[in-house]
Formats: sequence, C-alpha cells, structure tokens
Amino acid sequence: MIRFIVCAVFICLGLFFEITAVIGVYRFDTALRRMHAAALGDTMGLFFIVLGLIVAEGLSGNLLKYAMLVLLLWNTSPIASHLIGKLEYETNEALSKEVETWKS
Amino acid sequence: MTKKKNKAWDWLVDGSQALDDTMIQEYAEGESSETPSVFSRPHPRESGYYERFHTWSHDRGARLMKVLYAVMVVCICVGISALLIATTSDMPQFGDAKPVEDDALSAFYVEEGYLHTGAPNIVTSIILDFRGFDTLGESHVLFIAVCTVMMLLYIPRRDDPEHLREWLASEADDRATEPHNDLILQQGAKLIVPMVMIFGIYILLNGHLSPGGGFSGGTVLGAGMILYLLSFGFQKTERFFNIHTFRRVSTAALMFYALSKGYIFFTGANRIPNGIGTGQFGAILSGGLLLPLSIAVGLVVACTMYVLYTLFRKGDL
Repeated sequence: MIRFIVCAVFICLGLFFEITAVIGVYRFDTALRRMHAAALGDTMGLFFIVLGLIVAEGLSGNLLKYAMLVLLLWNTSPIASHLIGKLEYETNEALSKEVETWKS
Repeated sequence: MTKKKNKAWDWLVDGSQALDDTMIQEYAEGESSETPSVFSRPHPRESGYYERFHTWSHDRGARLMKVLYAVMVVCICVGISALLIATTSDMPQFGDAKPVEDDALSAFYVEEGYLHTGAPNIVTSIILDFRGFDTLGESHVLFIAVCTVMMLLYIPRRDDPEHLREWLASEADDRATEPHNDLILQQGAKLIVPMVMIFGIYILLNGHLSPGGGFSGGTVLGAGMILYLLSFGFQKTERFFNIHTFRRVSTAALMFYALSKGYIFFTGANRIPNGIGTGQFGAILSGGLLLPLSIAVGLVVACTMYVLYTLFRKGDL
C-alpha cells in the first residue's frame, strides 16, 4: 500500500511536469521559450515517471533497464534541445528583439 | 474592403497586362494614382461581384470555415476514438486461448509452428517463413522506393571543371551550415551511436528468438548511421558507405533472399527434402533460414533509410 502511494505520487509529479511542459509549449510565443518548456517535460517529467515505475517494480533486473532509459533520455534530449537552439540562434535574424543575445 | 487603386492591383485582378518595376514600386509606396488608368478595367458590375465574393471569403466565409473546421475536428476525433474503443473491446482478453483454439490456422502456428521453423518467436517465423513471399515483396518495395528517389534526385559527381566548381561550392556550403562540427553533438554521438548500433545488431540477430527481426533491427541500424552522419559529416561515412556499397549490399541481400526463398518454395512444392535443418531449439544458430533472411532484410532496410536520407539531403552518397 505504501509502495502504491509512493509510486502514485511520483507518477503524478511526473504528469504534473509533463502537463506544465505541454501548456508551456502552447502558451509561450517564441521558439526558445517553447523549447525551454518542452525540455522540462523531457527531463524532469520522464525522470519522475520512471522513478514511479521503479518503485512499482521493486528490486529486480529491470531496474537496470530503467536506469539506462533515464541515462539515455538525459543524454539525448539536452543535445537535441541544444541543436534546435543553435539553429534558432543562427537562422532567426530578429532574435535580439525577443531575448538578450550576444549579438545585441 | 479598401482597395488600393493602382496599376499593380489592376495587374493582380485581371492579369492581362505585363508587370513592370514602376508598378511594383507604386504598389510598395501605396500611392493611389488619381490619373485614369490606361489599362483596361473590368466591367463595374463584374468588379462588384468580385469584391463581394472576395470580401465574403475573407471575413464571413473564413468564420464559417473556422466553425466548420472545429465541428469536423471534434466529430472526426470522437468518431475515430469510438471506433477504436469499440474494436478493442471486441478483442479477446490477454492470455485467452479460445480464439486461438477456434481458428485452425492460428492454432497451427502456435502449436506446431516451431516444429516446422525451429524458432520460438512465432511472429518472425510467420513473417519470414510461412509468409516469406510477402516479405520478399516488402523488401523489394523498399528497394524500388530508393531506386525511384535516386532517379529523381541523384546527382552523380562529374569531373569537368565547371561541375567540379559547383560541387565544391555546394560541399563547402553543406559543411558550413550542417551541425556536424558541433562538439556537444559529437560527444553525445560518441556515447550514443555504439549503443544504438549494438542494439540494432542485437535485434537483428535475435529476431527469431525474441521480439525483433529484420525490419525493426534494420531501422535502428539505419537511424544509428544517420546519427553518425549528422554528427561527424560525410567525410567519415564515405569511408565505409558509398554508392557502390549500397549497390552491392542491397542487391546481394535481395538476391540472396529471392534465391533462398525460391529454393525453399521449389523443394517444398515438389516435396523434396531441402537439407536445411532447424537446429537446436532456442539457440542463436537455429531456425534454418530465419537468421540469414532477417539479416538480409535488415541490411536492405538500413541501406534504404540511410540512402533516402542522404539523397534528400544532398543528392549524393
């Protein structure tokens, strides 16, 4: 029972982060701000959901797979965000009107 | 609706006159020329109709379309969800043996399939053995897709100086704008690409024992190669994969598939023993032709993904 509650709390926390990310992606107006919101869901949301699954699973060999999942996601998602941000920085000519940049 | 009465607008409306620079300049400056136009204007009634329908499509029609769109979106989403839910509620429970027992073909696959193929994975044995002809067609569809894209987009490298200069310029442009010089991406790819490749090879080689097989393994391999290309550039990938590699690998894989399947069909139809054993059940080298066939399919799929990407990106390998 306690395990179920802990698992549910973690998964609800993860879903909260995911919903925040979705709302942010739709409500923010520029690409960089949207990316910031989306990255939140990719890192914290998925981490808490996987943590909840680990608690539900208990000690077993699948724990290693979950850990691999988190490692993979935390490695790849920031790199993808970095590349999108770089592309936005290089192609958007009106970027200095939106945010503070090195160019301005 | 306020209409800019100038020559460029006339050109837009009737299109009978050639457009020159002064008209564009006038339009850009927004000066409405008060002098009577030398161009032929449409009949007043016609232009009235035009304005009426034009404005309708811009305000009331647009609003109507928006409402229609919202209604259609809701209807289609709810309808498709209801259909899917109804279909899934008809499906048998997980672990329910009754539908399998009722259907003679399913019962044969589940109960006796492994005796004929020697593979624990029923899905792979159906795809590559019982219905191998279908999969042969699918691999050829992939090959034909690449051939068609190549016909349309492939730009072979030519050695005369004019084309060489163009090619060098486009290469330099490619190198400058693509992200493969990005250090963060390269460090990430150094970690990710070997894992992706090993995972793809595992899926490919273990297809007859566990979930996986040629199509999924080949897709993972192709994605790994595309990631490597994106992070390190064409200079690295050219060393192990060029147009000749693609030709040899995919042709050899398809030929092998077609020939071995033809041999199996021929011997099976004429009731001749084919001399290919099923091996020890559950071992990696078992299942007769399943493993080589899934490797062939995986190679074709990986080559297809990679070549489609490179052709769409720069028309060369």
